[in-house]
Amino acid sequence: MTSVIRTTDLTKYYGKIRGVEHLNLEVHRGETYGFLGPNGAGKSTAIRVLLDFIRPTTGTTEVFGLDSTAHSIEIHRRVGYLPGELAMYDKMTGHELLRYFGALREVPDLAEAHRVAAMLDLDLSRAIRSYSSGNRQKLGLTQAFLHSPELLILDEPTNGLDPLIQQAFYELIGEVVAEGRTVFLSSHVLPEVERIADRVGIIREGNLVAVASVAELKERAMRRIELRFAAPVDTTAFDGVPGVRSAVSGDSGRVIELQIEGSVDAAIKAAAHYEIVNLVSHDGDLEEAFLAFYSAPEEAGRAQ
Amino acid sequence: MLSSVFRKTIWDRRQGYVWWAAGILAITGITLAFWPTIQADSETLSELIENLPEGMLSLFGAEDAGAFLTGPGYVNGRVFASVGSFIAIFFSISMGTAAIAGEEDTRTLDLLLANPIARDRIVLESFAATALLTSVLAAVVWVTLVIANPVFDVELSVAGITAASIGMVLLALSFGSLALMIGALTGKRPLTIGVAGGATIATFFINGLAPLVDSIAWTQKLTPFYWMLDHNPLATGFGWQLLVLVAATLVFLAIAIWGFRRRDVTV
Repeated sequence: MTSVIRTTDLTKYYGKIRGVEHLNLEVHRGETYGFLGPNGAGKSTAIRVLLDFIRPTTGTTEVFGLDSTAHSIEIHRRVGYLPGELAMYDKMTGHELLRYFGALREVPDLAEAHRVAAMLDLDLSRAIRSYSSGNRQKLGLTQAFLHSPELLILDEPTNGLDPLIQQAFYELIGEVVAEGRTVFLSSHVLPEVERIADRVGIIREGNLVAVASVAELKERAMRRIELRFAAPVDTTAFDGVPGVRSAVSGDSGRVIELQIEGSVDAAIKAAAHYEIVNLVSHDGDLEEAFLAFYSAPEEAGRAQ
Repeated sequence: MLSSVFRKTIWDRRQGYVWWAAGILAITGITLAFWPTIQADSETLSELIENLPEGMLSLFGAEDAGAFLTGPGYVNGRVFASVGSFIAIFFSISMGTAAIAGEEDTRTLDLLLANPIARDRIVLESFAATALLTSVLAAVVWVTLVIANPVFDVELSVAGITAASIGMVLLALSFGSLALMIGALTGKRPLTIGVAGGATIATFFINGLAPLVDSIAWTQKLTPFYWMLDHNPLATGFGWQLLVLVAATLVFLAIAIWGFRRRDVTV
């Protein structure tokens, strides 16, 4: 698998203030990579090094196998970027901004930009000054897609977008992925990453604490299964069953709620000895897995 | 119009520029319009001027009281050694500041830099736009003086007007490139305006007042105003001294490019 983004031991300090430390990121061609962490964790710092707005204190970063400082222009040509701290030329209209960036990119044909703007339901004829923050975000996304780049670097892409437009954004990402292009997006919103990313890198206080595929994270996530039996069942029936972390009974023993980590197979087989009236499974919450990484850094280290 | 950083930088000025041009046109026109009155009252005025402190004369580019009452001396004092040049200088500073410090201040620089254009080019194209629009301001002065010179009988030569107008551009650009340089090095807009504006005022006074004090007279030579005004281009035509302003501008530009290349851009 070719890597589109690779940082090797990337460390960035702003004077004495920590940006990122010993960051080793690898994003493969064609994948959607979610860069997850709370605000201030260093997501934007890493992204801004990739684009050569800031320079590493130590370590190296490569995009398309090119050094991000030495070949920044070539990299910019092939990357679409949405800044996290999004500001726009207030005096321009949406159209004018796209024309300007289209010219700077030598992409005079704005058909793709217009298509994206239409998908996001953005009125390009108005002055950016009069845009709501949601509209600014839409324009930021539109300009990132303008030249159909092979890599999209999107810093908090759904900031300020209402749910309907978020849906349209997910569709856009789906298209990009279907075309074999790569998406690197940062977020502090878990469900969003869970929904569109193939892999997730979790960053905390400047350090990458875990990298996992979303499927893996889901695997690690606790599931909650609620079983209703025809006759009362004692919770001891689930003692020592692999994966079962807790069993709590209710309704005089007719209902048992199980917390299960990993596969539910053994628990279901144990339950099948009794007559089951109903079974409700609450899917694994990525947020719980995520928080588990946060509360137990040692464990997260192993996961890495 | 929005096809390059150069053109966009000019496009940004489409609303405010006319007022800068109007200002410099007004100061030139008013200066000329008063010339017949001044000439008519020259005796009273010369008494008045002779009683002025030496520093006042020196500040407005006159070596002695008599120089103020010649056409070229009067126009030089009002247009090239003071208000007219100030307009050109402050316009140039405002453009030099807007280029990088301004974009960083409004946080649009990330978005601009994400395009496939070198940082050097942003510096150079912004400067080229500044140079062009500053030159047009000086051209307004040039056209006004060339047309009105025979009308008001100011006794200016076209060669002198041309040299002084070019001098005005070079003087303004030395401050404009200073602003561009500070912006490129720091990205801080208030600092850029403060230092470049402060340098303008300070060097203006140093140029005017330092010659009165022997021990610090040499500091006059550190000011762009000296290299623009001391050889009196309006009266004597183009002098090599103007090349010092070109050199200063090129040095500031080179430092701007060097500094901006290696610096972290702030959000």
